[in-house]
Amino acid sequence: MEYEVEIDGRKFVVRFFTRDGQLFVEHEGGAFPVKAATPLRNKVQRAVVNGGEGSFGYHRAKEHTEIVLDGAIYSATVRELEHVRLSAMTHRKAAVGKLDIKAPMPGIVVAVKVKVGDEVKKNQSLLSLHAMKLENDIRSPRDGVVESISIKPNDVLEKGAPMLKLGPPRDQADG
Amino acid sequence: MLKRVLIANRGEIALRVIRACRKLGVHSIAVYSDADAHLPFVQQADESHYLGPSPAADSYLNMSRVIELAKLHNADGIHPGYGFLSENATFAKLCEDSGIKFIGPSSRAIDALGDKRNAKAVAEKANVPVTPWIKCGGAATADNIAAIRKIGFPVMIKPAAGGGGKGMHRADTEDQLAELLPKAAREAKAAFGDDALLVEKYLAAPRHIEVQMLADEHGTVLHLFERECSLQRRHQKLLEESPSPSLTPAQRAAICADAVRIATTAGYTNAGTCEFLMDAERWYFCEVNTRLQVEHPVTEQVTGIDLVEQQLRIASGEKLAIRQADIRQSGHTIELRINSEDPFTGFMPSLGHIDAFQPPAGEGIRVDAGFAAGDTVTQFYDSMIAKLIVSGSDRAHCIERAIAALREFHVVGVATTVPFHIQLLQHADVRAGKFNIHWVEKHLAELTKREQAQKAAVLAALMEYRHLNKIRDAQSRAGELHFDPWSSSSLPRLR
Repeated sequence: MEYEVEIDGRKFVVRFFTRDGQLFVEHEGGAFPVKAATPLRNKVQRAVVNGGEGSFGYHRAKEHTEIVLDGAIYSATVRELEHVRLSAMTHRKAAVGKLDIKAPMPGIVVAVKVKVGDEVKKNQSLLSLHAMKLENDIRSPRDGVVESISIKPNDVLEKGAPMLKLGPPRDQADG
Repeated sequence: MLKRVLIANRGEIALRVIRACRKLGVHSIAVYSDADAHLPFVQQADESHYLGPSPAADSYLNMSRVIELAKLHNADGIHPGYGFLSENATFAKLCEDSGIKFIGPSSRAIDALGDKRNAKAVAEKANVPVTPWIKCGGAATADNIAAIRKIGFPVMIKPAAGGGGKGMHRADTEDQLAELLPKAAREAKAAFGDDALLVEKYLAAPRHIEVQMLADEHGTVLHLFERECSLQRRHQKLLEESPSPSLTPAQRAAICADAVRIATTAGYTNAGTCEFLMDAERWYFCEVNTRLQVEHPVTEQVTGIDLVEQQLRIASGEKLAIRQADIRQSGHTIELRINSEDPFTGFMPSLGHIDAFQPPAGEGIRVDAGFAAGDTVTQFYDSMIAKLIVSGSDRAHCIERAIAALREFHVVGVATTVPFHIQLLQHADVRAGKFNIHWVEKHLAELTKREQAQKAAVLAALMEYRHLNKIRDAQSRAGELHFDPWSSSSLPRLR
């Protein structure tokens, strides 16, 4: 599981994995074991991070998580990285030029909703991708014309696989 | 011994007095405002009564109402704590006239010493040096300006009636007086009900040293050595310690003797503190705080003497059972004020619900707190929620212990000065004892760094990971496998 954590305007990527029943955190190129020593509901948490045990304050609010470390409050926005990528794809600002639209996650193509030459609008649904037991709508990040499509229904895609190419919108194509 | 003591105060100091009452078998009576109805001191007192609405003027400063409650509930003594009515001679006189013992000095002594103008005259009589000063009204009249010019700029403007750093302003030029004198007078009036001011010479880089005194009603005056309180911000003390790292043994003996002479000259009784400002070599008498002080635990820890117990004994007419020769400073003690203020946003007050309150414990650690988890910090009173008092065999040991204790002081819900204190105690100047009353202001940027965002990010992610796992476990147990892992908004919030 990968997370993007934003604190004081800085973004950090934190990944978790388990090996032999032990939870590890991977961050900034290093991996080290972590172990929580207190129930999740506690406001004061103890955890062993990389062999060192420490305590910190914890409060989960609606929009953010507060971590109180040595008395200082860090207000963190925590999002799953896949979710961040997905929304980045679908919410990117309109831009001109060519754009490769890649699979934001591994999955199976359910349906392609556009064909080559179609003019599409920002946020228009391009295709749907089945992943993690769900159909995910892949929407166009901007206005444009579909130049090529390299997938078809039932294709199994790896994360980052190219799916289609978007050209500039027609009214700008000659400019 | 007094039998029933009403505590005309709130928070940690009310609890402190309750504890001393319990020790002596005295029945304690708390009074409280709307905002404080659920605080620990209300529950801990032997009995508690409603005082009035939340604004201090309608409750803790309402003299006639406090006296009325004291009479109604047969109190034979009133402990004023610090702040509020503690240095109010009119209130002390009201108590005396009602046949209720005011646990503090007589109204006459408060008049003589509580008013800073009179206090300076007493010090001069006791042959203790004072800084050049004048009495002054709240207007920049030609007379006032001429007198202030004689002292020489910069000067400090202070409310004559008050203490605690409220309403104090530095003026560097005559032009500033026109603005600052009326402002200081307004603040003095609002805080202490008296707009009289005094203006005195501003010392460039002094240290704040104060001497704790105890005086019984039979002529005995003792000192309990000094506290150094130079680490302040906007005249609010942040850290107090004893012994002072800046006094030689000879200076210590001399400054304590000065304090005893002032108390003796004034006919002072009960607990009080003589404050001095110390330049490179010499010190000047500043004022007497005619009350128990916030930082009194520092003295209690180094001398082993319970000051509030002594206050109650003195007020009950007992002779002091302690002799000066028996009082020793042993080890080192530091008090850190834990305020609900955010040091990273200019010490903005942080109000609201305290979700978690877990103070440190262990050898050499004392916490005097007025709040507990579930309480609310309101805008009506000062921002101090607790005092962390740490003792060690010497100053270096004490500092190390204090840093460890601060790291284990967990408050969730409001911001506190804990992170500021950690950085303060880590600073080389503080460790070396090299500071004066302006040091904190000059080093604020160094003392308010946020350097652990990365570690906090890992911990925030860890908690999110655990949170999601818990939901997934719960859902798979319930057979609900269809949830949207991409949308955090579709996740139920478990608390």
